[in-house]
Amino acid sequence: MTETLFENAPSGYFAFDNEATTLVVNETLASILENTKEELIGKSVETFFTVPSRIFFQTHFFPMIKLHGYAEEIFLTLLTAKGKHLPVLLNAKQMEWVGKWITCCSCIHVPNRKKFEDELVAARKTAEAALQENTELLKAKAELQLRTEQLDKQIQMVQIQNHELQQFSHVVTHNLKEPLRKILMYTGKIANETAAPSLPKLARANEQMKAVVSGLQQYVWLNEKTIDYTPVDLNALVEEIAAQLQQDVNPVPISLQHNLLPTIEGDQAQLAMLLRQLLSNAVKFRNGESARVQIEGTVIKQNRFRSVENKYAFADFVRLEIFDKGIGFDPMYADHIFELFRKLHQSEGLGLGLALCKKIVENHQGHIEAESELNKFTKVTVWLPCFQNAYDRNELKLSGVD
Amino acid sequence: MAKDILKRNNVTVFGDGPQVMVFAHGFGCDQNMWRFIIPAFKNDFQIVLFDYVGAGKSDLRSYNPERYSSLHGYAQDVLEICQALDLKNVIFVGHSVSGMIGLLAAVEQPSYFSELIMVGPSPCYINKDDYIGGFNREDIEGLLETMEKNYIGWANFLAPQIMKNEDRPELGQELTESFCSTDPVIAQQFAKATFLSDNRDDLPKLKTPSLILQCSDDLIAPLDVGEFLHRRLPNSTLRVMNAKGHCPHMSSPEETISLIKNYLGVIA
Repeated sequence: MTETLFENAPSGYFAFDNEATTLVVNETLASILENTKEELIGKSVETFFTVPSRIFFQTHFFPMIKLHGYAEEIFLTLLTAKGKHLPVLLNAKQMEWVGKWITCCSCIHVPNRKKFEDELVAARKTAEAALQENTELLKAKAELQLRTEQLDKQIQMVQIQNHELQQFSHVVTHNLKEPLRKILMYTGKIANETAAPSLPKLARANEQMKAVVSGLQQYVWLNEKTIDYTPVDLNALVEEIAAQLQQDVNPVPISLQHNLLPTIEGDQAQLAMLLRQLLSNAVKFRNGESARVQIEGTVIKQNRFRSVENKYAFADFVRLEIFDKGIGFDPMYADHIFELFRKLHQSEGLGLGLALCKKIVENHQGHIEAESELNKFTKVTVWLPCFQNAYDRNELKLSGVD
Repeated sequence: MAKDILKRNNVTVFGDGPQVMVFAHGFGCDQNMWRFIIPAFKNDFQIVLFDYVGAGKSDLRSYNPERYSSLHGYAQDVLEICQALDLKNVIFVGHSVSGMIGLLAAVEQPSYFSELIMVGPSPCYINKDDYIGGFNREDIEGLLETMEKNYIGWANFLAPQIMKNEDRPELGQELTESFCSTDPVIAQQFAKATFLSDNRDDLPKLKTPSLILQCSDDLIAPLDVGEFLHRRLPNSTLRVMNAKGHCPHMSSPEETISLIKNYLGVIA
């Protein structure tokens, strides 16, 4: 008697175990699903639902039951044997039954409520969209104003600094170079006339100064020159530079290993200078007879915004890891090695190379880091954007999934 | 700064043991979902649990639609938590979409991770050309609709989303108790970031060894997807579980625990 009442209750009833296998179904549910009890029992309970409802079942409903022991007023869509979609509201409860945990559910068919809710959702969406647009416009406008003012200040500062820098570079290139040339000339003359023992030292100091000046000139040149972006095949470039370098440093053998490197947008000449510098450092500071260098390039996504807070646009960057098992440097200097004229080793050169590298990388809106262990290894990591103009590419689409 | 991040992501740290395990929840839930797994590890490992921004008891005010419009934003959460706690070589356990979030994080900062354990992962949920992810676009639209319908019961459903919660994050909390995600708009965005993501090209970039725990009969991450992952992920181990469905850590915690312990070489 009670069983008939249960079987034909005005709501569908079903129960399933942890594996989602259906254990109990009442007649009402079977008829809602246009099926028979015998067909439904033993089947996965997921098959009662449409695909979207099954995803919701797995990602929301099931965790909720497991964590809270119950779930109420869950909206799901049943899928009948004949392929009809029926909206239902469902309450569920977990309980112990013949020695195992099962989930019992009852559901009612709510076609009218669904219509009403559809309208509610639509109305809310419209209101929300209008409000959102308005609020976001106002916010964007205020932000734009603020940023424009900041930008204007920054441009002014940059202009002043640029001007100073130009004057400075003028001093370096002309006002220093000319007297230096004369000093060199007269030192040579004196050397021909007398044989003072300190003269060779003076000549060396002069030569060194000349090198410093021309190094500075190079640095200044990197600051002022406009960048010419073209597609640069890093793979070909690395090999070309390694081959050139090999000729220059013969007979020191260079063994270079690298994976397939991508093509990125950049200034061919500057990137060549960068790679040449990094590779020649690895050769210069090698440990032993041969120089072994490994380069690994990986394309990863990084936020293009590096100074403005709370702005995100994830874009493709190539991460180049240049690794050598050379003499390395003390890790405590890792933050300083990119400074101008910073030398950690008693070797030829000015300590200018890595400063140039940093300049080049920054010219490309990238960044550079180095890590090392003395007498073990050095790893320089460079991140360079694959594309210089985000808005030409599909990145906007990538960062906004819509 | 570090403190802010721990608060932002509701980070909890406990357990005894030198090796750190970070557990990351999937879409639709929060750190509570690891409840049945944690007791088996907390005596031998240091456990780090957290909620992604927008989920559980995270700070909703930190939600940034730009940042979290793709899985990369969620990967930043993971990396920032590792930075804040100064973690290196962690064992990362990620459920569902957190498998791919962990992968993106490990590709970006390999030194933070020693093992990736992915429970029911998928690199791409939508069928594309020859690839069978299991769903088509309409299924995902349907999911978004189902989510909307289920959030209708929320007290502040009719209040415009962008105006609320900004100063009163506790408003969403009562709802957290029922659903793990706290805000319909955020939940929808997470759904889109998850189900419309395609990380197939990122798979070969992973250097960290990984374990794929593949459920039998999982609608969200079918067997083919597990095998696809195993083929593309260098140094990966695939274990097909007896557990069915998408949440083996809740439906079959014992099996999940023993497979993880087995893989890590811990006596189960």
